[in-house]
Amino acid sequence: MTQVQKLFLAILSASLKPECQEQSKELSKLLEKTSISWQALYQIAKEQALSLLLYDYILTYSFEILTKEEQKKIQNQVMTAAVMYYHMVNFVFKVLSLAKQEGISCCILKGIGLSAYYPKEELRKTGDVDLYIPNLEEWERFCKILKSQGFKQEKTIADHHISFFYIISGIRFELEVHKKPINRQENKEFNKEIDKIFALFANKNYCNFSEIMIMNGTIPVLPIEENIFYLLLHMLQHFLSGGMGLRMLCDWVVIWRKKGQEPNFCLEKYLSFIRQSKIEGFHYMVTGLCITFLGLSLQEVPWMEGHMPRKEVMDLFLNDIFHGGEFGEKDTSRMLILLEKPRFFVYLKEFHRQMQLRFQKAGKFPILWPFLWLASFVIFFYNNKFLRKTSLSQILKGTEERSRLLEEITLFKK
Amino acid sequence: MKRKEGYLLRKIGMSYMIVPIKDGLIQIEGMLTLNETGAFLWEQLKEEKTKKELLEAILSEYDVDKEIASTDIQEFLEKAKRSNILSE
Repeated sequence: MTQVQKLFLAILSASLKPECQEQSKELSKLLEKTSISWQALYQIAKEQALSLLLYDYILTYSFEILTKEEQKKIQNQVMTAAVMYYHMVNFVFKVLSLAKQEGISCCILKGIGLSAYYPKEELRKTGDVDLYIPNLEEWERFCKILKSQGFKQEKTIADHHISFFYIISGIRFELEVHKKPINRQENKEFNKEIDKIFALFANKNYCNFSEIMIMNGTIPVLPIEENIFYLLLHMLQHFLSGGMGLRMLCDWVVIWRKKGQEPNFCLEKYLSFIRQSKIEGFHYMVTGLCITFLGLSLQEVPWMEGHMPRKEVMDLFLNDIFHGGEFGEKDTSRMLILLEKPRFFVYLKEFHRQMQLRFQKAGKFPILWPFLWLASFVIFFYNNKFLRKTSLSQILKGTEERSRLLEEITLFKK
Repeated sequence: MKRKEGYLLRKIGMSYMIVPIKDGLIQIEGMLTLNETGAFLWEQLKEEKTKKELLEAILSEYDVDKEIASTDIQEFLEKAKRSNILSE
């Protein structure tokens, strides 16, 4: 880990726990003496979609280090982000109000549903709204209603949600309407377990979602145990594709700090989800990273006692996170991790799976597969050459390297 | 005078914002930016306060000249009046 990365993690850790004034004062003194380039810090923050937390921290504790112009510039950025957040809150309430009018049982996933757990909710960068409608009929009905209300559907390569956008006063809002919590994964048993865990919500009349407060209003979210579990699944989904960034780890810290301490949180229920889905290794890894690098304490997650991963393995994971940035977008050669040892046949299987994800309707008909494989091949090469600007060999190399991380967390193993 | 209901005070970076909420929605066009003194006075006005009481509160909280404090209070009250966020 570089000095800049260490400092960035220390700032993040302090910004997630602002009540620890002493920690912030010590860090502030360190920042004054440091010869680390601010541009390098800004760059990491940008790659990890955490600029707002960094800016707010600097403005609160270390503003004397900045020039007046820099102060003004980053103050404007955080204020602009805060105003955008308020627009987003209004959009969420608009969508929820529409769902309520239609009698649709739904809740908000991640995004703005996590902002409330941050010390300042305006500072968690939120790109879109994720609405979960577990009952398939209701999901279909609401998607039609949205279209009738002026929401425009976008092309989505995912089997668990449809994307829409909506424009209010020139501002574009994106809404993902989920019918499942996450994409189907390669491991079928895992998919079955996830379906079982979330089956309860598919009842049309389900009305026991929890509520959280955002900016003086409440929004429905999953019950605590499922909510935390869902966040873990979301991280896993991204880890298995391009990668996950530090922002998701920050989400993990705040949700445990806030929700994991509530008296009605049933730890055993939550841990049973982890065991059922066989993702304990990943669960302990991300929590271990948060304890080691982001200030989550063992008192806050006492069940981690005896389950801390080895430091050298956590360093590998952290390196993967820094190297890839938010969603792995910094490294354009990233596509996915293979659950099996990378071999030619395994690549073919994955290619076929990706084809069926891209062509969800046509992909069900084997007679069309040769044409769809060809189309997928062409799209794959076009995207690599012109969009990602990477090569097949780089992608394969990246896949093999990242797939080694899986061995350390024994994902889906009995 | 006292502050009206339906407003949230938010600290963002080095600034403070008064955010109006009406019928569950944030009234973005009605938002008001305050400095630290303004935010302090807003907090004081959660209960009925006279100008004299506000002055006493500032003088006990900050190491500031009485005249400057009075000017700050006046500026804040004018801004608050224009934005209609206080009740007399």
